[in-house]
Amino acid sequence: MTRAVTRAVIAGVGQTEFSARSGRSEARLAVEAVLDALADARLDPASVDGLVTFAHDSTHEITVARNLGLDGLSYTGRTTYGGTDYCTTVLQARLAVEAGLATTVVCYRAFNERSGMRFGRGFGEGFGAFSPGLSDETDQWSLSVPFGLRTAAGWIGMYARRMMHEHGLTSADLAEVSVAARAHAATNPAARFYRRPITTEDHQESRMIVEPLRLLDCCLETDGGAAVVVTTEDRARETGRPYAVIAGVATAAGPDQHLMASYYRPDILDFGELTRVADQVWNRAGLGPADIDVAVLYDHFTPMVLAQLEAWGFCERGEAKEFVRDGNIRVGGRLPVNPHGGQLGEAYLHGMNGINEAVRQLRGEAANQVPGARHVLVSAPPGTPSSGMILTMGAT
Amino acid sequence: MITESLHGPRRVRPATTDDASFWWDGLERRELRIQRCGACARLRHPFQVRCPGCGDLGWDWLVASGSGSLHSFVVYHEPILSETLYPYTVGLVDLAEGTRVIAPMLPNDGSGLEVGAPVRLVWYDDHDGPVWPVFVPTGGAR
Ligand SMILES: [Zn+2]
Repeated sequence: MTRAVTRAVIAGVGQTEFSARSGRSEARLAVEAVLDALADARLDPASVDGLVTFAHDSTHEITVARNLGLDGLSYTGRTTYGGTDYCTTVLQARLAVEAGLATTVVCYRAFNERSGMRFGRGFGEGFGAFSPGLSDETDQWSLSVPFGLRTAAGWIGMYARRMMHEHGLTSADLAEVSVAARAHAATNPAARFYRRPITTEDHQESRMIVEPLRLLDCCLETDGGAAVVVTTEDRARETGRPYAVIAGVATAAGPDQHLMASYYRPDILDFGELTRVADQVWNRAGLGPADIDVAVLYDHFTPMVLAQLEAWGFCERGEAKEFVRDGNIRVGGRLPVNPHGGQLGEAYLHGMNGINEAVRQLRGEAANQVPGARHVLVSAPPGTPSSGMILTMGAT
Repeated sequence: MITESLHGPRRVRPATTDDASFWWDGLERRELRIQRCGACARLRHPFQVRCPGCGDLGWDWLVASGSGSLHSFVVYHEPILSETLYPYTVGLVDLAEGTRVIAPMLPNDGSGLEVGAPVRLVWYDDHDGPVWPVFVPTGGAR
């Protein structure tokens, strides 16, 4: 028996509101986000037969399935590496659909990351809280956490200091990444920082969190949920709703890869995990940097936006600080980056709200629409195994 | 002697697997150990099970000389957590032997530290916790 390979597409995206205190459980946020995405896709919740989330997510796939009233699931999956792995949710869903394991797979991420367990506090109180048993992971953290290097701002700050040394990067250079994100968020009603733009001076006067990173180099901890519906192109067509095609998606680890602190390579700014993602995605999509209309880059910390611009080849290594100047990364500029405000301005949701933005840009439904956006890059940061993809508009 | 008291989290030896215990045992003996392949003598840090060069599973270690240069560093001000004194500085040090290690730095506020500058290992012991490896600028903070 032969089976025609059916292409998997993104049929809908959804989310809860983004806040500092959701006032409800993470499971409820997950269920609300999944239902919102299904409504957006105009698909009956009963049609879901697969669910994918992060290893870190507190809401089990079976919990979502029970709340959707499903009679079961044919595929469940988890991605291992947190925010750097967010595009891997779509990759897994796509694989499941195109392998014929499931027909409609929803990827979700939901947490009370501001009012509940704040990631910004890192391994602070209680080393090993993320990994209860002894493992290779506890061994790795043992080289960092007991010495006080125990938050993402510190792990990323180490790369940032090196960028400053090697590329002449300054804190003032980083300001534009933050100011651009907040300018975009200021005109996005869904953003936590709606109507709250900042200036370069605000950035430069914001307090140091972990030098060389200031408060306004860091994303904002958020309560909320987001979800993405992946299904067959045939089913997406039937809904009549515009859908996004996954032109290329990849997940990758680099040489001598560690978690966050990938500090043991000869060149710690040679982010092999992300260039490996980029090479595969450009190749699979048959596209290059000049083709991209909008870039959704993972902006948990401003320096990593620069690292992504360089790894994807929008500019040479060390030149991203010049690339972001003169409004180049704002809507209307050469490469609009995170028109929704990103995780610095809209919400920190382990990147998943960025996938939603990418689909909205393609449909022409974004709050800060880039006219005629046809190719949207969605990228994760390096430092930990990374991921990325290019989405394009499907024919309807 | 170090004249400045070391800031940062309360010093505690973490729980690890057997793969890491030799390294932590070394610190208790004022030895910064670097794992060495038993077959090809290649050095490696962080420790791992198998030599990435020749594939041998046997290993021992050598004790680092303690001299190196500063590859990068960060100065912590937040988040404010319990049992932690601020500011404190964490460095990434290129050891003379060729491996790289994360370690606390003095001075606590990072003043005068420069990427690329020579640093050396000292052992911090205030009898209020385990002895701890700390790097200081070479020629300074004696
Ligand atoms: Zn060997």
